[in-house]
Amino acid sequence: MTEQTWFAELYDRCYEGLVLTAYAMTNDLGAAEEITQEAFAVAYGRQGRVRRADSPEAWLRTVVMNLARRRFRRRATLDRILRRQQAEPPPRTPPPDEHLDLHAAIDRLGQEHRTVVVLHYLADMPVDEVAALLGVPVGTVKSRLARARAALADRLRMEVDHV
Amino acid sequence: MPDLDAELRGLRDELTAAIPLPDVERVAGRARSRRRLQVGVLAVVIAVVVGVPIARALPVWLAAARPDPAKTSYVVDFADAKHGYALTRTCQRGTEGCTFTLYRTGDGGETWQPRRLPLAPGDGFWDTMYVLGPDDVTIGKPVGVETTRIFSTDGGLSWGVAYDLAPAGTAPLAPGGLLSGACGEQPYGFGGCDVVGSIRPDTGQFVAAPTQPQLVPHQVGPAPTVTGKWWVAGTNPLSERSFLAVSADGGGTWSTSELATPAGRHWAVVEGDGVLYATAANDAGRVTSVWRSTDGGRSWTRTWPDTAPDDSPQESSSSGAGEFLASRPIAAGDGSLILADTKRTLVSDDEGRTFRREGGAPGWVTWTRGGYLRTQGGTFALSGDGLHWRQFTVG
Repeated sequence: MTEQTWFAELYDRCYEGLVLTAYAMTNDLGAAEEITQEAFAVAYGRQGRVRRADSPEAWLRTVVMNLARRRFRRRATLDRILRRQQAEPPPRTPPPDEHLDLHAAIDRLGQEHRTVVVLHYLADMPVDEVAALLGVPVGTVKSRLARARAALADRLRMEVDHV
Repeated sequence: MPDLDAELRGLRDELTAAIPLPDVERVAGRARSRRRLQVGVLAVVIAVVVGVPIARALPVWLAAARPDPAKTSYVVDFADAKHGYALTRTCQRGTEGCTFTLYRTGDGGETWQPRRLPLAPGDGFWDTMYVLGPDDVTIGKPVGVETTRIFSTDGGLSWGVAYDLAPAGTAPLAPGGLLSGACGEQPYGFGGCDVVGSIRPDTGQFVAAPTQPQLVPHQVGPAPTVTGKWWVAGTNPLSERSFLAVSADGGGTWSTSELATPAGRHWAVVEGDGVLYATAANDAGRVTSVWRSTDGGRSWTRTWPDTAPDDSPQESSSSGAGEFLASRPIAAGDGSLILADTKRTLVSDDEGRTFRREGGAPGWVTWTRGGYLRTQGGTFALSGDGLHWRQFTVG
């Protein structure tokens, strides 16, 4: 298999999942796509190293998370520096057609809970991989997921009750 | 009641369907562009090393008339009580189409002189500036995962360009160095960039500290404390807790302590009269804990809060530091600890255990090599002891 073919297959296989991984941190699908493309551009330039990694996908995922964290930190710093007085426009994520309530409920979760929900349920990542990616124990991920699920269930019940 | 799992699966499928898959050739093109930038900047760096002045090769833009304060933001930093620089950024649309001007002061902000910058209007967003000495200043902007940096060693009269390459050897953390984290040869180590070192003020190159603190670094204090201590905040990848590392010998040795604080907090460390104070804030900017060390960072005591655990990002108290939106704490010359932002001032006279409100809203406070710098609107002030301030404007 040529290197080009190998890279194209890796790209096709992993791209969407990595976008959702970045989305867990950024809450902005456009930013998540940008970060994922940057990560693949880095991987493209280091294909030898990526191929030798135990898991090229895990290698990419770490890059994506670091880029997302860095962007998140820069955004917070930038907002403070520019002393923005008005609320920022919401991130450019097109609302899903059928699951508006759930999407809004996830957005309202605290960052820690939102991150594990997006990584586990939307990016389809097993709990132990979520824990490894975030650098926390598996038990912590499980308890955050449990609390997040309870919060989401409450909010969705409230939405249903109000209909 | 809706089936939550079914709803989550449905949302997953919708989001996945909404993600377009760009052609892989676009990624390859992006990688080639990155490589050209690296090669181009390397060529510039080599030219700098052999003594070719860069500023003459680049178009320069003099400061225009005084920037419109409504659209202008400032980055101000000082090397000492007299010498400082101000980078002004006037942006028309978000961070696009920004123009940059630089001013230098040699009299503590009484007067300012404009300096030429080799930055074209619309040339990205140069978001950081650090003053490393009376004539040493570096300005950086993010480019993908790295930072492009310009630096001057003659007070802004001429400039070189540097790129955050892999560490160029090791060296003690010099007082004029900029503490930073860089990625080394393994750029994306677990949890973040994991090599701590300093940016050399003469070349803009990154050199690793002689030893590395035993943590995964997430945050560094770019300037040393008043007695020259360096600090790094990070995490243990196997636990949820934060670590603080302090070095009093230029990175030769580190005192690393685990603090009972969740990972991901934003730290600030200051020193006054031999005592170190550290504050941790959550992503919302609220202080969640205050810590104190009397042994140079070898051990820390949490002084606030004294009962509530620091584990909730939503935590805030009706009184005390939790209502405070974090800028840097002030270890004041009279022994008090001051937390100030644009809306309020909190003062502790009991080593950070309790806080009382004081009148006045001094503004956003940061620690620089020249002392505490306070920003309130377009007005600034500098103080060595956090109590007596010398006010100034820029330009």
